[in-house]
Amino acid sequence: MSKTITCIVCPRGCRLVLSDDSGELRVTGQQCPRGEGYGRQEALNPLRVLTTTVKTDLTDIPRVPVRLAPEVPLNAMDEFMRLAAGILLTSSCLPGDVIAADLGGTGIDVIATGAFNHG
Amino acid sequence: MSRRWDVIVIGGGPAGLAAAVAAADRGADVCLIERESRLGGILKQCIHDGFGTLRFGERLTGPEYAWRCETLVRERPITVMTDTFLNRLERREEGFRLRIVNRNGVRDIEAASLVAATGCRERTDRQVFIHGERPAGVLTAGQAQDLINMKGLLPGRKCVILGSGDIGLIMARRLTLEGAEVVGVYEINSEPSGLTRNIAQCLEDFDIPLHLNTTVSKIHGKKRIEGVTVGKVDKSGKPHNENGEFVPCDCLILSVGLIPENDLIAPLGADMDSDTGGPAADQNLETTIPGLFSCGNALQVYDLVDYVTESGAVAGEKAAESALNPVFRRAADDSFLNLEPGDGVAYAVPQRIRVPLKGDLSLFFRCRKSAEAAEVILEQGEHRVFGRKLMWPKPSEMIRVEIPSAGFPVEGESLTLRMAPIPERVRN
Repeated sequence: MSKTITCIVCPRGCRLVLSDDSGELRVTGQQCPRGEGYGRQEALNPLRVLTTTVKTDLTDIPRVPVRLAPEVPLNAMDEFMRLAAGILLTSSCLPGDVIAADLGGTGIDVIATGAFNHG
Repeated sequence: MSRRWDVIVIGGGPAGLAAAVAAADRGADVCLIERESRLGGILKQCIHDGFGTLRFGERLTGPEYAWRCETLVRERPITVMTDTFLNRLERREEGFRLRIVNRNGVRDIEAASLVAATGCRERTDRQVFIHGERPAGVLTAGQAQDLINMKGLLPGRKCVILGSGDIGLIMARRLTLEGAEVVGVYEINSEPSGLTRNIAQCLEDFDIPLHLNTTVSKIHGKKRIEGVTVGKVDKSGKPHNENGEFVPCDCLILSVGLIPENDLIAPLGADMDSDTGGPAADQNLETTIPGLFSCGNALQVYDLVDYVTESGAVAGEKAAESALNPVFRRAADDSFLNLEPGDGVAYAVPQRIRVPLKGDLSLFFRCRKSAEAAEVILEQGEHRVFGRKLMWPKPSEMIRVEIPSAGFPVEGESLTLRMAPIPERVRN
């Protein structure tokens, strides 16, 4: 069986062909080595970078952008959105700061991507 | 006396930030003007990742990319004026005079060189000929992005997206994650206009249908939008009236193109390119007005911020050289070769090339049709200057080629950039 997918690692968007005709998974069509890794992971368990925002206690800057790290399973994004919705940011942060560690015991951290000056 | 700078940069988005840094690094005294309170431009609300794979070798989010660019500005002796509007722009004998308004009042400032990094605007419903009532719930993708990401407000529960531009695709995913239903994305053309990877990770990941050759022909509802009529279009892009389908929704989001914002510089008389919507520029990104430079989405709508940064850096560096070094200042007898888009090429930047070339030339262009493989050819009359094979060219993705300076023409007629199909049998 073979399947064609679009690589999302970089803007080039290579068309990858995943096939297991020979009994083991083969990835072809990538123009760089990152495509191979992406293709294998897609066949196994698709992972995505999840970015969203978290609430703050300030009215003039009501939201601060965040990313979840590492990547989360595509089929669990809803659950992680629910967990992130429960966060309230009440102090200053810089991009890269961990706002919430080990979200709901999943091993996933919530990291600020924007600066927030609480004053 | 008005304060005078070597270089004034208008706009604090990624292009303007890069221009200010590059100009300062060339030794220029630089002032950056931004109308919003914070630097970063539209990147502030682009919270998704995928920025910077070329510039930084990492997948950053928009705010992270902006933060890195802003930090480079803050580390330099650059005067940054936020919450500052530019009211009037005049060309003077030796540069430019700007009338600015901010909390300190109204005042005039001057610059030897000017970099216009004013970005672009979104096309609205009126500009794609959707007429009728103006109910609430019709907004551009950027407005929806601002509401959700900056203000934490959901603009609708059941959304239709018109146009498959990148911001529309990104918003389809974002709305879905925030709990709204995205009924579908409707694209009038036969191909999506956003990046292929955004079709994959924003629509396919969430089973959001993409309808090609289809558009919205009517908006229903008086106070609040209640639905839209969608239908297939004929070859000329006009909707068939008889086969329209009513799709209920409480929100219509438009992602139907971006228009370079040049209202400030057009009155100065810079030659404009009707294909890009930006000014005609040379490889230094100098417009037809000496000392006036253009970069970023004001010059041409890019699909990658990495290229926006690069164009800002070129404009900033050259603006500084122009201000500091009178020899660099364009002399009346400088020669230019015009570059015209030929078969299969929608537009090409730069529009004119200053010759002789002092280094390799970076050309940016968009093709008109998708192909598995094609050759891009630069020629002057019958003389072929450059050719390169391209895999998977498509109109939605800007193409960049590097033309070596060796053997590049120094005079003569206009150059033409065209695409030639490669027959299948010679491909392998």
